[in-house]
Amino acid sequence: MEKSNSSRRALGGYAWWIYAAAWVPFAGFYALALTTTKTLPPERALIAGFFYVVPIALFGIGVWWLSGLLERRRANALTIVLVHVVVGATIAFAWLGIEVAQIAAQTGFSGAWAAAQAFAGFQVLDGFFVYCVLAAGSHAIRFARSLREEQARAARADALRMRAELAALRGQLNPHFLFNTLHTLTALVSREPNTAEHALERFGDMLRYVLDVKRAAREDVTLAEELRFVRDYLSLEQLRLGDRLRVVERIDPDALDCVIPSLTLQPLVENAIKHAVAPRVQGGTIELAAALDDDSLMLEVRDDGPGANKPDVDAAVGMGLRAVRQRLETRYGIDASFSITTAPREGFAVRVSIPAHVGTVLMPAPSLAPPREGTTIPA
Amino acid sequence: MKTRAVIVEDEPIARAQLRDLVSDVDWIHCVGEAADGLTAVSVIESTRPDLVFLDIEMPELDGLGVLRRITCDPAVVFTTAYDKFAVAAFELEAIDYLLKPFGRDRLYAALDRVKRAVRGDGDVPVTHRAHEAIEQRDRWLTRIFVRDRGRLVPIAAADIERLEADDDYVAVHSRGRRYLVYLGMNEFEARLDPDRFRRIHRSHIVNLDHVASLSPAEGMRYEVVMRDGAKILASRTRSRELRGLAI
Repeated sequence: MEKSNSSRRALGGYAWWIYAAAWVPFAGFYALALTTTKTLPPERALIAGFFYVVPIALFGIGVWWLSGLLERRRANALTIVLVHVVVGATIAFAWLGIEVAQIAAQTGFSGAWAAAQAFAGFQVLDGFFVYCVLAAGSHAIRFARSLREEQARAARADALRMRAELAALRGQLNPHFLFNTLHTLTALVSREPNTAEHALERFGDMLRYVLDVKRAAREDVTLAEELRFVRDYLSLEQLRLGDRLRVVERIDPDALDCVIPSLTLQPLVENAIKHAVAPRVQGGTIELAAALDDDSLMLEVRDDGPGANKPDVDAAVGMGLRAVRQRLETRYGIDASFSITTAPREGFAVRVSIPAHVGTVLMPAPSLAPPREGTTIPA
Repeated sequence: MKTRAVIVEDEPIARAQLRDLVSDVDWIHCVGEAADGLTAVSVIESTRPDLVFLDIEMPELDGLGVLRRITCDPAVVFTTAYDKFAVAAFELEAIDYLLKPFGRDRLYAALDRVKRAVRGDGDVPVTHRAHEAIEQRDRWLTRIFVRDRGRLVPIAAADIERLEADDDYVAVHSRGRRYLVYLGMNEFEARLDPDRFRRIHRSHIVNLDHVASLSPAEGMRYEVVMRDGAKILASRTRSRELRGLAI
């Protein structure tokens, strides 16, 4: 059987062998019918069967190609049915024509015409029926395949999102912070037990916040919640860095009930500590600001550190900041803005603006209602 | 005479803890402190201590940078919270380090080892080894240092016959001896010259120069026979890679 290269690529060479094999019984039954009704010798009946089946089998390849064309053009169901009815009828008659021509080649035209009258109606119907089966099969295979591809794509997208979340989580509580904080706590235990106790409580609150936010797959928190988390974080960093870390807050109390994506503020603060405080002997000051402006909530984290060249920063924004920006973009689109103001020796400021929505506190205050083991937090 | 020590640590609480713990050690006398790298260099240069506790992450100049600039050769105990790269380098050169968080017990265990080095029994100087650890991080290993009953033993890469994972350790086989190094197989694989060292299994790396033969075994795998008679069955995947060697 002849196979075009493009259709072989489309379905795989193996599948075409199966397709060819499926026609063998068809040819066989025809040959059997010829031996019993017309008492042809078996070998001649088989040859006749072969030539009977080959045209329709070849047309079938065209059906596969046609189904692909229709789906690529995104034809609607009615168009698909109409096209197949017209093409199917044409092919059924063409098949009859080829059969008649074959008979005519052996017995002469008039004999063939007489013979044709006996089976023409049957063969046209038969051809049309075979065509319908082929067309339905082609579309079914293509549908199953696109479904599989769709599922694979969805799975890939899911994996990407989970990886991003994990990276974000790792970014939130980076190992440097974790181990250095634990070291500070170890050192405090015998020297200043009260400070150690207090710091451990805050450390526990921080871990609970991050774990709860992730476990409940909860996007949103109130600014008040995020701020409590950021203050815990800052107080632990202050233990480590001592008076090198100075913090100034300018928080509009009206903004506290606004809803923000969790872990929006903390990466900005962490970034400021990493670049403006930790690497400098004299340390630095971090300014935290939140304000309502018409329908927007403005958040700003500013430091008085070494700053950077704006183009350099735009070219290579750190992972923490990039994650925040991407999250805001996917969440709010053009309703959110994320801007960086910086210059060498002029500090570094990140300003975020998102639509202001007032929300309720969804997460129980950890000290009031500790989640019991085994309970799940509704998403 | 007491061992004279300098403490280099940028975090005030951690520095105070180290000062307190060290003051309880009768053979150490603390002669100076520094809270950043640049100060550390000048304190070390002026006091010429026998021992330095050196934090790696610090403002201005990190601990490895400090080591590059000083001209004397004290014993060094590195402290770090999380620097996988430095830790791998220290393990390969058998340099003492403390992972934060650490308390009294871990510090004293490290000091026990340091005592021998400071009291001078002819080991290769620590700073020398530390320099190598820092400078050679991008090159293939030419040799490693392992500990053997308190002594340091240098092993040339050519003499490493094979490596075998052993829980969290890697056992280094060389000249009929077995030394444990607290490092992962992947770190070793990344630092050993792949022309000579091949990973043949999740838990095995062999030096091809010490392999006697590769014989086909069941399931499309190879059995690797070492010169010393040890036999290791390579994994299926690694066997495919080994087949590539045979052309």
